Order: sequence, then C-alpha cells, then structure tokens
Amino acid sequence: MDKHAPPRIFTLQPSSGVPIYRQLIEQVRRMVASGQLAPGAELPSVREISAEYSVNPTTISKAYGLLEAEGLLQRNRGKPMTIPAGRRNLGALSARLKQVEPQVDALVLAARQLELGADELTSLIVRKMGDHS
Amino acid sequence: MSDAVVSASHLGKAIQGNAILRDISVNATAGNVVGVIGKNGAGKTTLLELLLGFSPPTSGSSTLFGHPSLTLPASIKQRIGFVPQQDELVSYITGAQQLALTGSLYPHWNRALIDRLSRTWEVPLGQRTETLSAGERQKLSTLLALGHEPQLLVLDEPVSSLDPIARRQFLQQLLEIATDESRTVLFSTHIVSDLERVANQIWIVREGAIVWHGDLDSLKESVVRVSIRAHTTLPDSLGIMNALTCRADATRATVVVSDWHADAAGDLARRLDADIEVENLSLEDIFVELHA
Amino acid sequence: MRGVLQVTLLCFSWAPLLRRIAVLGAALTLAGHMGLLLFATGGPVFLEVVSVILSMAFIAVSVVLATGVMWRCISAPRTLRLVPYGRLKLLAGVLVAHLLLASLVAANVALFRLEAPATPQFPGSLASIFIGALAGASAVTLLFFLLSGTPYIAIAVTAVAWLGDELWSRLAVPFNLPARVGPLPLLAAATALAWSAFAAWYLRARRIAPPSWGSTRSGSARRIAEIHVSAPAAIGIQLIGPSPFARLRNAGLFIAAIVAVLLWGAADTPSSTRSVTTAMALSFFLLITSIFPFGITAGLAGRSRALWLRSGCSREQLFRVCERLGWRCLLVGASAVLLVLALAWVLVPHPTYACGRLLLEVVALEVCGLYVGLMSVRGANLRLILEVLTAVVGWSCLMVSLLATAATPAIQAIPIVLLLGALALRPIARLQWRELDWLICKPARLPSQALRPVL
Repeated sequence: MDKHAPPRIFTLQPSSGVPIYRQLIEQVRRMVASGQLAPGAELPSVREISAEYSVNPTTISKAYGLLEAEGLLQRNRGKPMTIPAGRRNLGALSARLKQVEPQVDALVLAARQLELGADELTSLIVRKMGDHS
Repeated sequence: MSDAVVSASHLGKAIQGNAILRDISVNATAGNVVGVIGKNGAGKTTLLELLLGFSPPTSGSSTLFGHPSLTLPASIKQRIGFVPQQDELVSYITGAQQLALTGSLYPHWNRALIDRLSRTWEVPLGQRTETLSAGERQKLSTLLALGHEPQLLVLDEPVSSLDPIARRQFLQQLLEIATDESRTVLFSTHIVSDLERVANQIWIVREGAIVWHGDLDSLKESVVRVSIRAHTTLPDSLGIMNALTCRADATRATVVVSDWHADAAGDLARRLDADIEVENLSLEDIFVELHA
Repeated sequence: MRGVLQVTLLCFSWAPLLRRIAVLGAALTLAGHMGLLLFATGGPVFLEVVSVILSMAFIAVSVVLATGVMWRCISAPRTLRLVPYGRLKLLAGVLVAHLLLASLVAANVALFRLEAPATPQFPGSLASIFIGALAGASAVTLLFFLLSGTPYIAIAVTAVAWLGDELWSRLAVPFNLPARVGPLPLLAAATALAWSAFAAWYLRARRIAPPSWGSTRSGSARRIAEIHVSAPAAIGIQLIGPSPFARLRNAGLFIAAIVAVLLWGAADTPSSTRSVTTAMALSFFLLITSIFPFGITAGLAGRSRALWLRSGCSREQLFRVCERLGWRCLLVGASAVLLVLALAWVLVPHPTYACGRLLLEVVALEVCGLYVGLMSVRGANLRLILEVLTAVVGWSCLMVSLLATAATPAIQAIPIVLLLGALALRPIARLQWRELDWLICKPARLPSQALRPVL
C-alpha cells in the first residue's frame, strides 16, 4: 500500500449514463454541502484528475468551469482551485430544490415499490436530517 | 470551419457499385479526442483512410489542416501520425531497427519518449518483428506513430489485441496527448468503455453514414430510456417524438428516445396520466439502441 | 472417393489464376491439334509444335510447380488429423493428378505423332513418355514438398532431375558411360519406390511443418547490426526489406550458371531432336530472370501504402522511388545472365543460337516485368494476368528465336517490338500510380487462409 498517495476524493464512473462532468459537479456540490470540502480546501488540477482517473480533461474543465460560474469554485492564478471562503452564493430556493429533485424522484419510486406511505417516508427523512446537521 | 483540423464534406465512396460511405460531412477541431464507433463493416476504417488521403473519394472531398487529403504536402504529413488496423511492420528486422527506420523519416523524433514508453508498455525491442505477438505488434505500431509527436493522431482499432492493463496504459498516454490543446486524436474502436473515458466527441457510423456526431456529454444527455407506468390504459400511439424503440403493454411502456429534453417528462406525465421515470444510458446501451 | 477426386481437381487449380492458366492450356492444346489436323501439309507447322508443347506446359504448371508447396500448406495444419483418412485422401488425390497429367502428356504426343509424322518429335515409345512425364512431375512435386523451405536446392535438384537424361548423356560421352540413365522399367520402379517411401513417411509423420516462405534467413540468422539509416535507405527497407540484393545476386548467378551450362552444352546442330528440350529449358530459365523484377515490383504498390504519410512523398514521387528500386533489382538480378548471353554473342559466338537477339529479348522481357509489376489497377489479379500474358508472349518469342533456323525479318523484328512494348508500359504504370487507391490495392498477405476447405 502506498501510504503517501492521497486517497481518491471522487468516484467517477465513465460507463454510467450520467456524463462525467455532471458526476463531478454533483459530487463537489455534495462535498461542499456536507463540509467534506471546507472553504480554502484545494482541489486537484484538471491534469491531475485526468491522469488519476483516466478520463478526458475537457470534461473535467467543463465541470470546473460550471462550478466556477456557480460560485462553488475559485480559480487562483498559478495555484490550485479552491473552495471560496465565506458564504457562497446559494442561489434561489427553487433552484436548489430542483437540484435534489432527481434524488427525490428515485426515493419516491423506491417507496412506492415497497408500498411505504408519505408519512413514514417524511418522518424518516426528518430523522436523517436531524442526524446529519 | 476555418480552424478545423479534419473536415469532410459530402464524402462518399463506392467500390464496384457498393456504396461504402454515403454523404458524410463532419469535422474535428484541435484539442479534441474524437471516438468513431460503429459495427463491423459500417465503414469506420474506410472513413479514416479516405480522410487521410489513402483513397480518392467517389464524391465529395475532405481536408486535413485545410489541405485536400489527396494532395497533402510533406509538411502536413509530418504532423500526422497513423496507426492502421493491419500493422505495416517490416519483417526480418528488430523492433528497435523499425523504430530507427521510421525515426529517420521525420525531422523531429522524440527518442526519450519512445524509450520511456517502450519500457512502460513492455515492448520487446530486441526481437524480430515477425516473432512478436499480436499485442506487441500493435504496441509497436502505436509507438511508430507517437514518436514524432504529431498534431493529429489517427488510430484504427488500436487496442483490439491488448489486455486491460496495456489498454489502460495506452489510454493514459492518449490522455496526456489530450491535455495538449493543440493536438487532436481521432480513433475508432469497438471497446466502448474506453471511449467513455477518453473521448469527448463521438461519431457514430452506421451503414456508411454518420448518425450522430457531437459531444459525448450531449449524446448521453439526449438519448434516454423512459419508463412509463400509466394509471389508465395507454393509447396505441404514444406520440413521443424521436422514439427509437418502444416496448409496451396495456399500462406500461419502455421507450428509448433520442433528442430528449428535460422538461418533456412533465408534459408526458400529464398527457398520458402516468408516472415517468427517465434513465440515462451508457454509451454501449446507446449504441445498441441506435442499431435496434 | 469423392474427396480424392476433389483433391485431384484442386491440383490443377490451386488458385483462380492457375485454373485460368490450365483452362487456357487446354484450349490451346485443342486449337493446336485442330490446326495440325486441318493444315497437315505445309504451313508453319513449328508454330503448332510450340503451341502444343506450350499448352501442355500450361496444364502442367499448376500440378508440377504449385502442388509441392500447396500440398504441404494443407498438410501442415493439425486439424487435418481430425479428418478421417485426411492425409490418405490428399496423397491419393495428388498421385492421381500426376498419373492423369502423365497420361495427358502421352496422349498429346500420340495425337501429335498421328497428325504430323514428319516433324521432329520426342523420341521413345508412348510408355517411355508416360513414365518420363510421371517421373519428372513426381520428382518436382516431392522435392518441392520436402524442400519448400529452401528454394535454391529445390530448383537445382529439379533442374537436374528434369534434364537428368540430357545432362547424363552429355556427361556420358567423354567418360564412355552408357548413354541412357537406365532401362525404362528401372525408371518406373524408381518412381514407384519414391512414392511408396514418401507415402510411408507422410502418413506416419507426426508433425509436418508448414513451408517457410523464403525465410532462409531464419536458418542463417545474421544479426543485422545498427542499420545506418538515412531517409532514402529507410524508404528502401520499408519497401523491399532489409537486404534483398544479396539474395537476388545469388539467384541471378545461379540461373546464369544453369544458362551457361545449357548454352554450351547444346552446341549441336539445330536439327537434332534434343534441341527442343534444351530450347524449352533454356527459354524457361531465361524467362525466370524476367520474372524477378516483376516479383519485386509487384508488391511495391501495396507496400508503398506505409510510406504515404511517413515519407511525405506524393504518389508521383513514390512511383519514381519504386521504379528506381525496380531498376536496381533488375540490374542486380539479371546482370549475370545478361553477361553470359553477351559473352555467348560476342566473345565466344554460339554456333546455334543468335545470342544477341536473345539478349535483347531478355532485356525487353525484364523491363516488361518491371513495369507490369508496378501497374496496380484494382489489386493483384489484373497484374498477375498481365504478367502471365507477358510470360506467354515472352516464352513464345524465346522459343521461336531458339528454334528458328533462318533469321527472317519477322524474327529479327521480335526483340525490337518487345522493347517498344516494354517502354510503352511505363506511362501506363505512371498514370495508374497517380490514381492509386490503397483501399483496393492492399499489401499481399500469405495465402494460409486462402486455401479452400476440401476434405
């Protein structure tokens, strides 16, 4: 085991139906929201990710570009990209809700297949959010 | 486009009456990795060879770096590297001699790169070329095309004989080339999972015509599988545009749609009074569905 | 039984080209015999003679020259052992083919004697012709089978076996040995013995290696040290391999030696019946030298594909490069034979043959072979057919030159016409290279998968 190599932060699946740039964006968003990537944390460069995960650099830089436009990333000249400090531009509530909508759809579908009611599901969600905050 | 590296305009090729390529118009710009996929016999190799000037087209034309393919000047040819499907290694000489031979034909030959790659890829250079295995021959052919660091690298099924580790090493080298914005890679392969990693543009060739060309990401976002579970009986015609395949019974249906828009789900749910689930497909699934 | 007959048929038509040659030979034989029947008295009978002999040669080409090697090709794969009586069927089929060929030759000569009793003929009874043909064909086939890795030895032994009778009687005279090899039954017994011994080995041999296609270098694995490469040398090596000139030179010297022996051994008057055989042999070996340049240039169009991008040359430039290579190979391979002919013409003038004319004809044929090889329209088949046509025309001209007793103006003109024809081929080849389509013209592959499954 090579203890000096840092563990992989992301999980990228090229064969998934979801394009790689979208996977990366989702994961960065989630890690920022969960605190895994604190403000000031450095992200690997496009070239590093490309070499480490064996994926095309163009799709990585597209992801980074979109994240930067969202305000989630900050480009520093000559230095790695970082998470900007301070409150980030969260965006409108409806936009944020729309982003979780795919996961909610999947959850609702699973619940239907298991014949779980809305009340049971909601109380589960409330409990989980209480655990993680 | 003025800065297109590879450009084809209404390219067609027929041999003895059989149309192998029909009216192909595509281009590739610098800095992209273009993957060409298609069934056996779809015309991938013919397309690549016509683009490179090996064969005169029956109709239409193609250019490389702005010059017509058939009459490429020597300066442009020096900037192109090609790995053919059938290797063209000279027999009775060793791999090292073959590399030296090819190296002497180019003014710029990166010896250090070749040495490093032949070590990493484990290509035996001291053996005669006809004694090498198929995978080693393929690796050697690839080295021959990489040595002069071409601006345009064209590969025809470059990994068909390589084991997964060798393929991964080769892809890593391709990605290193891809990070250079001025270099372009064009390669055809069956192994779709490799393309999903490495390519950012895709050309899909079916029966001599290009049925899709564009970003891989757009392709994945626009070809989806829609599962419909209706509360009432479904009508005979679902009225979904751009449907590729459709499997339906009374209340459920599975439709594969190309050119999907994200808001179409809501419309469909309302119109059919059904639950809609949209699933993204991998490139292999897309390929299979496009050929169904 | 049907499998055996299929193999026999295969022996006459190993490849589409050989099949066409055999059919052409059959047609020419029929035409020759019709001609002899209709114009039995007077007229240029020697043309019919030539055509009847030539045409039998065409029918024989596939069986005699190709069977040895091709038979070995199909005997080699291990899957043959899974076929019930596979090797036995092959052996039986080949043997029947040879018996059939010998019968055809004997029948041909018999008909010929009936039609034109006055012209010089092959000596001996029909039985001796049959046995002779069988022995000759069998010797070539079996030797080529056994020696298919070493073409020189095979050719040498074949030449000796074919002309054995001839050479023996030449050698016999100064040494007062019996003039014939031996009585006919002995030859027949020797042939039967050879086949039996071969069959005993063939049916039992555990593993038969496929023929090594001219890679005699694998035996003499000369380590090629650092090749000093410059761009032109690199282009040359990519086109014709590392060092073909040594092999060409050796082959040329070898053929030249045979030609020299035949020339000075045949210093008889032309009316002797032996001279027909000698003329055939001489013209055959002279023809082979003209096939060398074709052999080299025929593959160049396909192999130049690898240089389209790498060398930066245009199609026109590639044509010139290949043409230059072809001329170099021609000079290396043919100079020995041309020298022998020149010597026979000038220094020690040959009493029988007009060697100056022969020299010109051989040169013309070489140039023809070179440019026919460069012609690359629609892949290999047309090129091969053209070369076969050239060979046919060439052999006819050579035979005419060798057998003609009087130097009529028509005969004098033959070499000039040939040379003009050869030079006319160049612009045609050049034009075709301008439109070279490498999608159609591919580098040659070994025919290991080209053999049809028969059994």
